[in-house]
This record gives sequence, C-alpha cells and structure tokens, in this order.
Amino acid sequence: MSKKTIAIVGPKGGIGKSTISSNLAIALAEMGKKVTALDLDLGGANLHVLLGIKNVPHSLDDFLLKKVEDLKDILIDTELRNLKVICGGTNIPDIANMPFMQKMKLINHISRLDSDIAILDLAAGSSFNVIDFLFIANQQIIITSPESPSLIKVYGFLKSCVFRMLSFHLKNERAEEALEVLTRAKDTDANPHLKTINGIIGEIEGINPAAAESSKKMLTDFRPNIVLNMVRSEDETKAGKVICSMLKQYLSIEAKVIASVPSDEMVRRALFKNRPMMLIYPGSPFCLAIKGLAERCIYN
Amino acid sequence: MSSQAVIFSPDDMRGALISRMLERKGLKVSLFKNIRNASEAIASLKPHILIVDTEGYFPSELGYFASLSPLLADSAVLFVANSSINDTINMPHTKVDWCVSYPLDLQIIATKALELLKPKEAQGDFKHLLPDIEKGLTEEDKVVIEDEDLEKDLMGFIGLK
Repeated sequence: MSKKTIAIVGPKGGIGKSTISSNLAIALAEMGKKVTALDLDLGGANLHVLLGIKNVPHSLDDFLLKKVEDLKDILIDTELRNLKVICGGTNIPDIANMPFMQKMKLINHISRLDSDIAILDLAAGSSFNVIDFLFIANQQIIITSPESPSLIKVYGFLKSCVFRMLSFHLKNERAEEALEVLTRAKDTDANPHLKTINGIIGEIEGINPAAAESSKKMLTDFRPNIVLNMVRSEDETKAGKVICSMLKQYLSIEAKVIASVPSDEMVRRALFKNRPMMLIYPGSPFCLAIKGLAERCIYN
Repeated sequence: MSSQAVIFSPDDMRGALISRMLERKGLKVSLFKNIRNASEAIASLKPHILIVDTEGYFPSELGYFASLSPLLADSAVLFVANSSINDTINMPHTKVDWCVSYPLDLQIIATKALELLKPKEAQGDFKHLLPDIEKGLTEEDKVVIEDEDLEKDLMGFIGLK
C-alpha cells in the first residue's frame, strides 16, 4: 500500500481505541490531509457513533453483500471536508468471521481508496482478521491503558501477530520442519525453551539456518507503536517502558510508546453529548495529546 | 525566573499571536521579523528557546538557522513548518522539534515549547499535561508503579517465569 494506512487496535476492549481513532482522524483532517476512516470492528461497529453520524445510509454490509461494487460507493461525508467515513457493518451476523477471499477483496479495495491517509479502526481481540488487517497497514498503533490486564492483552496480541508472521514466512520458505517448531511452541509446559521467540528461532536455527536468519530479519521490520491511554500520572507512564522491554526480550520485537494520552473527564462529557472531542473541546489535554500523535503519524 | 524565548516570524500577525500565547504561558518573549536582528538577539540574550516561524520562507533560507547552531548549544529550537525539517536542517547539538505551520495551532506551539524547555530527563510524550490531572487526585487515587514489580507481575500472569 503506497498511501499511509494507520491500523489502530486495542487488544483489550473498552480502553478508548475508537475514541482515539475517531479523534485522530479529525486531527489529521484538520491538518489538511485527506482522510478516510474505516470501521473494521466487524460486528461491533461504533465509529459513526463517536463521530456523531446518525442515520447511516450505507455501511460495509452493503459492500460485503455486493449491493455496491466499490468501497467508494459507501463513503459517508462528515462535517469536515477532508474526512470521510466507511461505517462498519452490524447486520450480518457472522461478519466478524469473514471468509479469506472476502477479506482479500476488502483489502484490495482499501488500497484503492482515494485519500492521503486511511485509518483502520480494528476490533478488540486477537482474531486472524484483526491481525491480518493490522498487517496491511504501514503504521500499526496498539492502544493500551497502563493497567496489567490491558498490558497482558497487548503481549498476547503481539505474540499472536509474531506467530502468524512466522507461520506465513516459513510456509513461503517451504520450511515445513521449521513450522513444526511453531506447533510445538504452543505447548510451553512441554517445551519451556520455546516460551520466547529467541528460543523458537534458536530451535529453527538447528533445523534450517537460512529460514532462521530470514525470520529474524523479518521480525526486525515489525515495529508496532504503542499509545498509552487514560494515563493519570507520570508514574503510570512507566507501564509503557515495561511492556516495551518485555516485548523486546520475549518476542524480539521493537515496540515504542509514541504517545501518552491523559485521562480526561471531558471525554466522558463528549461521549454523552455524542460529539467528537476534537470538535467540542479542542484545547483539552486529550486533544492536545491527539494532535501530537497526529503529527507523529504524518511525519514518522 | 522566566524562560527567555526569541521568536522569529516574518508575518506580523502570526508573530504577535505566537508571542502573546507564550507570554501567557509565562515566558519572556522577544519577537523579530528580520533574520539579522533575530540572530543578534540570539547572540546577546542567549535564549532558552528559539521559535522559527517558517511561513513564507524557502527551505534553503532555513539553513541560516542551522549555522547558528553553536550559539544555540544550550537552547532549544522549535520550527513552525509545514513538513518535517529533519532532512533540511542539521543541528546535531541542539534540541530541535517542529510543529505544523498551517493551520496555525497556538496551543500546540505552546505545548511543544514548554516540553522543549523541560530538562531532558523530564521530557516525554505530553507528560507535562499529567501534573494538572494529578492535582485532581487524592493520595489514595495516586498510583505508584515500580518497574521491576510490574514486570515481575506481568511475567507471572503471562507464564514467563
């Protein structure tokens, strides 16, 4: 994908992922970028709610049911000239378990959208669909709060991502014996030395050194960004440092915290007013942090 | 003691707006429209921060500020520019940051300027917004995180021990 695609995922539900996605989209649009925000929280679409869009005329349901030919046929205008939205589907019962070919068609159409930046607001959890949509982006943002339950979800999610990347890679390399290592690594009680990615790569090295080397190189290109949300004190930002250190040590991936977004009472008020923060409280601590995040997204 | 800021802006309106915002934030501000006057001020005042508003300037002209780098070794520089200046400006010994020039966002300019003025160890990603939030917390609400304890707990929960 040549245009900038930013995937935003929050492995633990309810940590403000869509609030950040919607307001980040607005911030980028206000900076002059042509932005398309896509709600890919399949089955749990709510981006339109956070953007204050009522009476949604069409959604991803129409695209997936082939009522329209192109994603651009379901673009919805917003108050901002530069921001358009594709609302998520809510009516198809098993939409979250989209078949592979349908997913590929959607990915293909996303790549053809006419915008400077596409923001993909993904679902919570670690399903293959969430991971695969994350991979199509050239910038990946993981939202977490500083508390342990959320941090653990981040670790688990990124471990699933790494496993999926390794699986695809080793299949491409036709390294079947090396793939067996991934299968054994699922049982860490029986194979404690395979708890870490270093351990897994070390085991693969003994079987297929070339595949191990190429796997290591592939992992160095995976550099997810972390945004700490609902932060209430300087001390709480230490959680970001801790999780990045663990990701490096146990999953061999370089993640970094690119923003700490303060907990802001005005967010709750905006949610009750059904209006985005960036439009009604643009000078609030939350919005200042989001504007800073938007700049980092444009120029990193 | 207030921090000293030198602002260079070729645009009267923008310069005045940026000055007023930073004065409201407690900085002592000197505003210049002319590069030569600005550079003389930098040499004599040794400001804590230089703000360069690039609106209407060619990228090549900004190189002049890079040549002032030795005078700005103990200062910070904030470029207000429409694209990242990292590729065009080389000021290796100076704290440099930038923010978008259009639309002119005075809040973000002030926030970044204050961020740059903080001691290096205290800089973070808008962490300076946190003390205001902390003020609203009772002692019981405040959380103290010990890095090692958190890591140990997470490893235990994840099964990495």
